[in-house]
Amino acid sequence: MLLLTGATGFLGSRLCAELLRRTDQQVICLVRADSTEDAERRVRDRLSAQDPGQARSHRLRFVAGDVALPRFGLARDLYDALDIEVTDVYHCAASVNMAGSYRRLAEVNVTGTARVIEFCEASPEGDPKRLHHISTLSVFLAARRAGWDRVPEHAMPTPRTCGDFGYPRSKCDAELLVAAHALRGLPATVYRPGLVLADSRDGAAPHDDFIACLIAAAIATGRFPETDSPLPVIAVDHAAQMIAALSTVARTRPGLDVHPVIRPEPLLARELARHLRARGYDVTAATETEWLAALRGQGRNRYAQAMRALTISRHLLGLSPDTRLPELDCTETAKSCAGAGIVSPAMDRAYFSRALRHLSEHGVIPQPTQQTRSLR
Amino acid sequence: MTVIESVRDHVERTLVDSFEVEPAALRPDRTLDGLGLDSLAIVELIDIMAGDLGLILEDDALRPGMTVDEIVRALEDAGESR
Repeated sequence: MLLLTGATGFLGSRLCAELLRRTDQQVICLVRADSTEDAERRVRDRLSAQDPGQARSHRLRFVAGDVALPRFGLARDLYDALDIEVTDVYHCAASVNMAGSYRRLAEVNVTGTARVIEFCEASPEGDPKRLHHISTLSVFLAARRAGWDRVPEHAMPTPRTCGDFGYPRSKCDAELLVAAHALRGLPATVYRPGLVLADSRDGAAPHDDFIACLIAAAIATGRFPETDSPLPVIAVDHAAQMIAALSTVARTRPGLDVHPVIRPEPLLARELARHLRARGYDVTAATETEWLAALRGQGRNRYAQAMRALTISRHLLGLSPDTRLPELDCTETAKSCAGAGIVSPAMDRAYFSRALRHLSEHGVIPQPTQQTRSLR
Repeated sequence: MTVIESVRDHVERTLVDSFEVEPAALRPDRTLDGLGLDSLAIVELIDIMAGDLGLILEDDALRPGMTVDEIVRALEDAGESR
């Protein structure tokens, strides 16, 4: 029996469907909800929009609880029953507010991970459960400042590699907690997705994440910081497939297993500008100074404000040499995925066209103008 | 009767009206983070102060760890240097 946290999230919901598809196990979704019925409704609603076949699965179970509370806030008998039956925990629940402070994010990201570890280790008589911990490659956001130009696949982050940002720091601390318990015998695998982009099947993506704010701010200002920053990207459905597949193949390394969850080829920031233009959005290249001035010039446009607030974007966009993202090795993980038959979806013009159409259909960005479209 | 609002009054009213801060929570030594403002909210606060009072601050002039007192002082300094 598998326990999944974060099943209502962008990645978690797709991981839920992949676990149902790739295993014959029951998947118990631990959801922050008012009741079991509410938890079930939220997960099935989410799944039915993207994977109707799996949304009706009889192998789905639901528990209303809170990952950050002792015993997940569950009654003792329910917690003990899960303790006996669950063999693997997929910990995907996290607060991903890139503008949030460490203190607030740690309440979920670090405390939640500590509770999940407690659960994995709970039973004194039985075997510990395997922990599949979903982290983020942003734990290496500031790796260049820490003196690393290239991050080896199995490297562990430090407070220097994650930089002084709430979200990466909270995820770095959570990873270090997992690593410390892995040293003492907890079977654990850490998966580090890069920048998780739209679903390759229908272009669906969050309307308020870093990429949505960047695209909306670029279209609003007509500018784009066209750097050659190598964005470590992955389509969300591809990330879910990779994690589910990697979690079910036999382990080859002793101790803590670590997998970057990215395409082997990064997306250069300026390629994103090219895809915007191909879809009919007129954006021109901007230097860092021009970009920041253009954002301020938008007044209270919420996406421009978000880009000003997200100091993390200076790293993601590599606006200066010391904030450039490091190169990320993913050789072994790519091999394992190829061996498991995972095919990387194309991130081509058609892919970005679907993603941009999704954002315009949901009012995040305007429709491209006919005039600019016909010019190309 | 004319009521001239001080910078402090305006900051406090904005925190309550626009950022859902409980009036009882407003103490001079409380930090913005402690009042529930993240860095996006702080950029919004900077824009509101620029629009309402004409006090222009850089985006990194206010930080989540600053107290209400420090915010008021930064805005008053911006007013004097105009």
